[in-house]
Parts: sequence; C-alpha cells; structure tokens
Amino acid sequence: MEARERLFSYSKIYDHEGSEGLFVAAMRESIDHHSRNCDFYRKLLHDSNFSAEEIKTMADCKRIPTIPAHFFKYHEILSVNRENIEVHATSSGTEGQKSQIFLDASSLRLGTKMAVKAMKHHGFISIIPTNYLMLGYEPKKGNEAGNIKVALGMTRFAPAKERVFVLRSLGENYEIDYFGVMKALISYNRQRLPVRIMGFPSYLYMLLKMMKESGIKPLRLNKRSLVLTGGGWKRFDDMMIDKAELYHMVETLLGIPAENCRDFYSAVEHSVAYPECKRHHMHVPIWSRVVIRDVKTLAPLGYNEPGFLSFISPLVSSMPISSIVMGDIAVLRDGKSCGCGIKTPYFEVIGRAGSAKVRSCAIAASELMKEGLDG
Amino acid sequence: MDNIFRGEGISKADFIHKLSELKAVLQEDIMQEPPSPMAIIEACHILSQQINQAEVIEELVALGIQPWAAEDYVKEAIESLDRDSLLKKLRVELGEDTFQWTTVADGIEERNFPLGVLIHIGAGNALGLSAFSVIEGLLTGNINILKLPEHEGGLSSRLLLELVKLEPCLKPYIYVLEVSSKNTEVINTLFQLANGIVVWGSDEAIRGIRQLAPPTVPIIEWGHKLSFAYFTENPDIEKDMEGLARDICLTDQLYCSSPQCVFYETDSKEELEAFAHRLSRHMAAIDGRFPAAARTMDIQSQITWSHQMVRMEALLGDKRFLTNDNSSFGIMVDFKSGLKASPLFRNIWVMPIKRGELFGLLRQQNGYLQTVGLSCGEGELEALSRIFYSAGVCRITACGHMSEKYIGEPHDGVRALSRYVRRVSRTVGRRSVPGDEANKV
Repeated sequence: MEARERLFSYSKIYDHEGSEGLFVAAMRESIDHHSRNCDFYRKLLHDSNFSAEEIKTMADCKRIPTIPAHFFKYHEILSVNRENIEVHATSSGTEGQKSQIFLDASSLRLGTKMAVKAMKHHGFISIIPTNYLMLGYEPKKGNEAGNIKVALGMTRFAPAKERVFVLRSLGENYEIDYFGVMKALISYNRQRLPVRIMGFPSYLYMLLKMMKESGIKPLRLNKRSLVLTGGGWKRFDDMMIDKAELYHMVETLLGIPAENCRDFYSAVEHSVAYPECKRHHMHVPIWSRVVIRDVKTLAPLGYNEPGFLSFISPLVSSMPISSIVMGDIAVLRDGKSCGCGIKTPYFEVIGRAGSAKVRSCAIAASELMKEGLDG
Repeated sequence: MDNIFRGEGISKADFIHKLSELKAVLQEDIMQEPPSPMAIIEACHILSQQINQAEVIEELVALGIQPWAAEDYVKEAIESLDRDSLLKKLRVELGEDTFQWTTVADGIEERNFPLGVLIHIGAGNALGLSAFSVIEGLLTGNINILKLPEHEGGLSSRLLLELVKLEPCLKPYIYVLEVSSKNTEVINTLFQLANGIVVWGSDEAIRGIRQLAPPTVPIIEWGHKLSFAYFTENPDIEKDMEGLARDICLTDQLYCSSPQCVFYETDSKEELEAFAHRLSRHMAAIDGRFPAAARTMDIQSQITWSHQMVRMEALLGDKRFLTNDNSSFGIMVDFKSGLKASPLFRNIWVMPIKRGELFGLLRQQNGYLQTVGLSCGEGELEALSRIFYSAGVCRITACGHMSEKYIGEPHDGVRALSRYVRRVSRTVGRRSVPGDEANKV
C-alpha cells in the first residue's frame, strides 16, 4: 500500500489540500485491501453496490459504505490473519460490552508515526524531565484497556521522572486515591519540574473540585506543564462541566495556563487522535476526514449541521474500519475561522446519539441490556 | 408556577423554604377526616368535562405525538375521570364498603384506612400521568406529595389546581414539587414524612428511591415493562398480523403494553423469514395509512443506529432486516431468540421460538413482563396462558388490542388502590377470653 505509506510520511500534518490526492489514493488502496482480505467487507461492498475502483475523488470517499463502530464490539472482523495481530486493545468501559481493536504491525507503525508527528506539531515533545499524574487506571496484569496503553505511550514524549495514578487497583476494583494524588501534586509543586496531567476529564474535575472544597492552597505548577485529557466523561456525564470552566479551574488551582490544557477526541475503533489546538478546537489532520452524516439517511452534511460523527481513514489495515460511524452527534466547522493557524475543519461533539429519555413507560434497550450507546 | 403547597400554587424556592413547617402541617391535616370518595369523584367528573381537549391535544402534539394518538390519549384520560368509571374502579379495587367498618368475625370489625402521606415520584415522561397517581391517592384518603423532575410539572400541576378549584376541601391533600432526584437533602426530608412512596419510572429511578427510602416505609413500584406478541400458525393469523401492525404503528410502541418483539413458533429459518415478510406487508400498509410524525434527531439517530447494526449483522447471516424505502418502520429478524427491547417507533424484533424453550426464555426477564398479544389456535390458549402467567406475564390480549384498557383493570397485576390503604381491625364489645369458660352459666 504505497499511497498509504506516503500519506503517513507527508510532513505537513494539517495540509489537506496538498495531500488530498495521496489521501484518495490511500483510501482506494485501503478499501481494495479490506475487500480482498475480509469476507464480511466484501459482502458489505457487494450489498451496497460499491467497489474500490470507484474511489477517484474526495466525494467518492464519502460514499464508501459506513459501519457503526459498535458492530466491532460484538464481532471480531479482521482483514489480516489472526497471527499477524500485534496488539488487541479494549476500551476502558466498566460495564457491558467493551470496544476493541486489533492492530497489525503496519497499522501500529503508521499509528506511532502519526502520534509522534502530532505531538511534535503541537509542541508536546520535550527533553526536560517531567512528573506525571495519570488520570486513569494503574496498570495491572490482564488489563488490556487501550487508554492505559495510550497513556503510558504518551509518557514517552517527555522523560518521566515520577508517575502517579489516580485510580489505584484494590483487588478486583479501582479506587480514586485522592490522598496519594494530593501528596504527589504537592511534591511536584516543590520540585518545580514541568508536570503532565493526562487522562479522563471527569477525574481531573473531581480532583480539582475536591481541592477547592477542602480549601487547599492553590498550587503554582511549572508554567510549561500540560494537561492532556481524553476519553470523555463516560458514566460521570451528569457532573460534566463546560470545557472553558474546567480549564479555568486548572489555571486557578494548579497554575497551568488554559492554553496548555488540551482535550483529545479518540475512539478505540478509529485510532486517529484529535488533539485540541491552542484555541481548543479539534482540527482534522491529513490522515483522516470527518464527515457529519444525516441521522436518517447517513448522507454527508455541510458545515454547522448536526449529525452522526463519522471518520474516513486508511490508517488501519487489520480491521475494515476505514469508514466508520460513531455513536456521537457532532458538527463540523470551517477551520479558517479558528485563528490558531491550522486551516482544516474542526469538529465539536454535541452529544450521544439516542441519549434523550424517550417519553415512554416501555422498557428501553439501555435498561434491559444494561448498556447504552456509549463506549 | 407549577409547584403546589397544600393546594396553592407556589414557587419551588418557597416550597423548599416551607419544608421545615411541613411536618407540623401534615400532622394537623392527617388527623382530619378525609373528604369522601364521592366528593372527589364528583370533582373529577366535572374536571373531565371541563378539560379543554383541543388545548391538551395541541400540547401533546408539540411533544412529538401524532394528532390521532394524542386524541386517543385525551379521550382515554377523560373517560377514566368520568363518574361511573371512578365509582367502578373504587368498588372493584376496594370493595363495596370502601371505608365502612365491616364485621369479619364475632365482635371483630375491619375497614380500609389511608396509609397517611403518600409521596408520588412521577416519571418525567408521562404526560400528565402523575396527576392520575395523585387522584388514586386522593380516592384512598391520603395526603399526596407529588415529586416531579424539574420543569415537568406543566400538565399534572394544572389538572390538580383545577381539581382544587372545583373541590376546595381537597386542598390539604395535594402538594407538587418539581425537584431533581439528585437533591437528596429535599428528598430525604420528604421521605421522613412519608407513609408510602409510589414510584413510577425506570430501574434506575426505582433503584435510587430504594436506596433513599427509610426501611419502614413501603415502596409501591410501577416500573418500566416489556410486552411482546406470540404467534403460532393458525387460521386467524393474517388478521392478527394486521392487528399487531396497528398495535405497533398507532402507539409508536410508547406504552408498556406495546410489543417490542414477536415470537413465531417454528424451528425453520425459512418459515420465520416468510412470516417476517408477511408482517412487513401489513406494517407497510398500516404505516402508509397512519404516517409517523417527524422524529426528533435524538430518536431518529437511535433508530438509524439500530437499523445499521442489524444490516451489518445480516451480512454475517445472523439477522435479517426488512423495511420500506423511507425506513419508516423496521422488521428486525434475529434467528437467535431472546427477549429484548426494540428502539420503539415502529421497530420490532421477530424471532423464532420452540414451545419447549419458551418458559425458560421468559423467566430470564421475569420482572419486566407485562402484556402478550397472542395469536394461536383455540386449543392452544390454555397451555400457552399457563406458560405466560407462570413466567410473569400479567395480561394476554388479542393482537390489535394490546394497549386497550378496561375500568378497574389491575395495573401490572396489582389493584393499585389496595396498595394505598391499610386494612385495620378492631375488637368491639366484650368477648369471652380463654379460661373464662368455667364462669359461664
């Protein structure tokens, strides 16, 4: 897959115009690969009356049949032999069926390349020893959650001096270790080294709220510290606060500038990460396209129209996830208005699909199955 | 002002402010003789005739309900408030001598007595239904505090204020507070005053209430339910399939009595697919005659998502998906049977079943079962009924009538009013005591 290799070697990661030809060619290669190597995918294309050869323009890419991300929770569908799978990662969900991804060597290699380039572009690579606060699960044997792997991988972008985890494993369960975290933060504050706080925004919020309520003196962490959040609020949706409000709390309680607070959109089934720019917008890099789709017809919509969030990307060769629909409702915005310097469109997630309570006394799927569309 | 304190409209803030005096107010009122059921029934009857039907229908339509469904809903509501209906309900559920002392043995009398203070936890989704829960509480002589989610009072509060206007002596018996269930401080204060808690809603809502309720206070739970249809090959099957299509389309499956799955007795994949195709034709016809209202984005996204999932699984051979050009309904065939919830709004699961596996399958969702729309041969009715009732089903109806009600009908297998009273007894006069025999003449 030559065009795919070249796309991931392309140097300007937000140059959609210059890389469009490569992207379309890489998508053609990707769809061709999946249809040759995956029975399910071949049937899907046949059923949808679509073939890889039809992909000649960006508009054609948007016509590639989509698959709901949830499908891969229940079915192990591969486009390579099982023995070529190097990594099997699952979502961090605590209930119900977990999302999962199987990556082969080439997907991993290109994914790593992509992550390094993105980190470099946003200035997150540093050689100064750094103290880490991980807003997630302490790794333990048998825990395959993708977030842990990603989070640990992320600690390689600046040499780790100390690493403290918010969720400590206590036998079968995980518990928030407020006491340990506060002790670590106070020690980091004294050390004056840059600090990186990474993980779920909900835990960051709980931590900051606790600091505020217990009247702990605000910390003044190194100005070059970073807060990298991702993974959404999950089961803490009801306490979710506005991003701007969260970043303001970080500024006042930890002394880290709001500009250094960056949220990421990432999904286990998609593998391209979308870090916020310094103006807190998630721009689309050259490795993928974001298409917002009509909630009834799945037809592509224009800017500022809400619909299903869907991704197109040739990154993964081990699973046919090159055109996938997420259970999120989002809008796409014209990137030129952002002002951060990146010109590609950015998207905003505005909610989960099917999350409003139906006015009904009939039992809902989410109750019976003990899981909704999350994950 | 959608909150009500002792029969008077009030703001939420003022209601919460008055919580501290509520205990004393209730203690005073609870000692009084409650208004007679006849007075309440009379007021409800007049209320039912005064309801501005057009206005309520308009309000329901604005919530996304089709006009004909809204009309049906209002008509049914009015009928249920009618004098004869309420009288019959009272007699069926509490007996002829509703609140009279009756002799049950020599020198022993019993009567129904109100529980006292009932807290009704209304679901936010129930279109004025909470007012009916309060009326049941009134009929049984209780003081009623209706807790609704924030900004959900609307219809229920208006109905209750109208009722108070018609019968001012009901004032001390009606309270409405719109407050989030997460406000545990307020909820706990209310629960300390309760003699019974009536909760409507999801498992989540019920679980929350169980955690907060004091162990000595009975909880009367009206949870979400699952209903389904059951078909065996029989002479009336076409007519019943049409009826089922009506049950699905006319209610948009929004009631707990609406079918979410259809089971067809067969062990053949081909027969099941043929059945699904036949049902699909009836669905297309009824859906065409009664087009659905436009779906909100939220509802539509859930429907599309389910359709897409089934389409993908169909490629694996596990499922089949039938719809029309407009995707305005969905027949989702799953070759593996199990009770499950559909995305509603004219979407139904079709699954094969073997008689021998039926009971075990139903028992897995025991507590959720409500109505079965049954289509079978005459000779099969007894045997199937036994399986259904034993597995937890409460109602069996013909297809096309799954959501029809009758006056005095038990709710989820229970006569509601009997849950809102206690049976008290007294021993009157001197009775002989053991050991007294010797002194007898």
